[in-house]
Amino acid sequence: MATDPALAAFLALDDDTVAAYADDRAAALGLALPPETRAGTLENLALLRRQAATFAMDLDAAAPIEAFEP
Amino acid sequence: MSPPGSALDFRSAQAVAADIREGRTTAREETEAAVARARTDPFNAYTALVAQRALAQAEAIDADLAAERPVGPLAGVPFAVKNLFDIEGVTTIAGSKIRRDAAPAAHDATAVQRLTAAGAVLVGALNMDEFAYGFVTENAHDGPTRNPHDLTRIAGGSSGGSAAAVAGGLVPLTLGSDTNGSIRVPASLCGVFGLKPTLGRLSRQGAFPFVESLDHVGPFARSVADLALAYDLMQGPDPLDPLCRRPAEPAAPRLQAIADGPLRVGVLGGWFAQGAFPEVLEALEIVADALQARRGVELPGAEQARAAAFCLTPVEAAHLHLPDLKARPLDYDPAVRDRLLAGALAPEAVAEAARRYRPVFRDAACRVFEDFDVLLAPASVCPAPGIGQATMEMDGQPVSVRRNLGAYTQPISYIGLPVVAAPVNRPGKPPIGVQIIAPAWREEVALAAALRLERAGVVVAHRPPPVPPGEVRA
Repeated sequence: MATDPALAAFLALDDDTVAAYADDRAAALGLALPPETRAGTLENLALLRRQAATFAMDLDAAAPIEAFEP
Repeated sequence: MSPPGSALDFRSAQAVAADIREGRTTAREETEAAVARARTDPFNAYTALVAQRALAQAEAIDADLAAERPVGPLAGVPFAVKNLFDIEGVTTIAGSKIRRDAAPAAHDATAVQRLTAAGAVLVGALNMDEFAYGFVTENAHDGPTRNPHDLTRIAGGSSGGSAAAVAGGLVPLTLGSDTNGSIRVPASLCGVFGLKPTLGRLSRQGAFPFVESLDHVGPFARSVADLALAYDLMQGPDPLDPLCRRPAEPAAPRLQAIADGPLRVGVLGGWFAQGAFPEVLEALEIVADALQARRGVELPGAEQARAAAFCLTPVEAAHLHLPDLKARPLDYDPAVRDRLLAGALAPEAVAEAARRYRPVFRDAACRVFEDFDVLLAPASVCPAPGIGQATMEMDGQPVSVRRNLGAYTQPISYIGLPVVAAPVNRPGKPPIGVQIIAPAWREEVALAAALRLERAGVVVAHRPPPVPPGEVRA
């Protein structure tokens, strides 16, 4: 289970609740979503949520993030 | 040698340099020919030319040669770069509409400076997916780049112009960038060699950023020797790129000895074998047989690594683009815009999680490399799809072309490993490449494996069929 509250809330969304989440986030960012962009943006946001669930669930959010070296 | 002119030219970069040095042609003749080819480019690879600059440099090289002054190893060799590299006096559009009004670059990118210092002559800038976000180079503003092997098919992306220009005989050497596969996918689909070096090996200074923590730059060429030479010439620390700190470690002088020695080779299974088209697996088998590779090597966590790269990309990229996403979202390519908007809306914690997973997967890869010198994987899931093709079948399911072309490249660039994309010799069939993956900072091992395969005729940059008369760009 993700320990970061924002991440946990995002991962807990389902495809029906992504739109409301997106509207709240867009308002908070001052980012308008023109009608031409809405369907594609929501589809991509839902895809990001599904993809994030594959790797983010079990990571320790308290662990420091290292400066990555290959 | 091929006579200079507008006819497509398939000599290697080093052959062109030798022809100039030995007086069979001049830098000016070669430059004029490259400019003429660019003006009649049938692949829509070019987006800008710098003919005046190129001719001035070529004349200076000819003057140096006439006066018996020393010249660089690529003296007079024409090259071109993805249009996200800064070219002094040219606006760096990065495939976008949004940057068309930006001020011209004040200086060349470091990679361009270093090739120019070696005598290579910059001819122009090349088409790409907008802001490097894509695998198709079907640019909404500049049109699609066409695959030289089949003009109805994509060149791959995002460095599609860079791959097509080399594959199509416009220039022997180009530069591209690779964040998630943007050198390896187009190299594979166009049948040329591409090198994505270790993250931080080559300076990204002056290359318009996409995802700074994943961005790499690297060369395309029609031979391993050209690829290695260009790579060596661009190496060395650059104080203007904080990741680029390592001293140069020239690869070319070491390739033959490594290629002649024992190599422990593994073929990645699991994620890297799921969904690949049969001809992709057939091409991989040809290479695996030639290198006597052990099959079915597991790289644990590859699917998660791909997902992490997939998520990190739009979230990090959206930081850079947020002001323009707010001010002029409809000026973006829709295929890019909607992903960036989604990235802006996702919580930053998604990117943080993707960064946290990175060392986990790197360490897993390090453990696999305890038993292997190089690992093989497909470079793309399929040969080049058609221009405008939205979906393809993977494991019997229709999936998005744009989202899945880089399925096998993304996990590798996520942890910054060096990879040579090498075109498998399958005469008469569409190009398909393999990834030859080496441990971090061991580019010379991947290049040496590619050299061994090239000498055996297992990988080769194919010459495409002649362009039908009357075919036009875009």
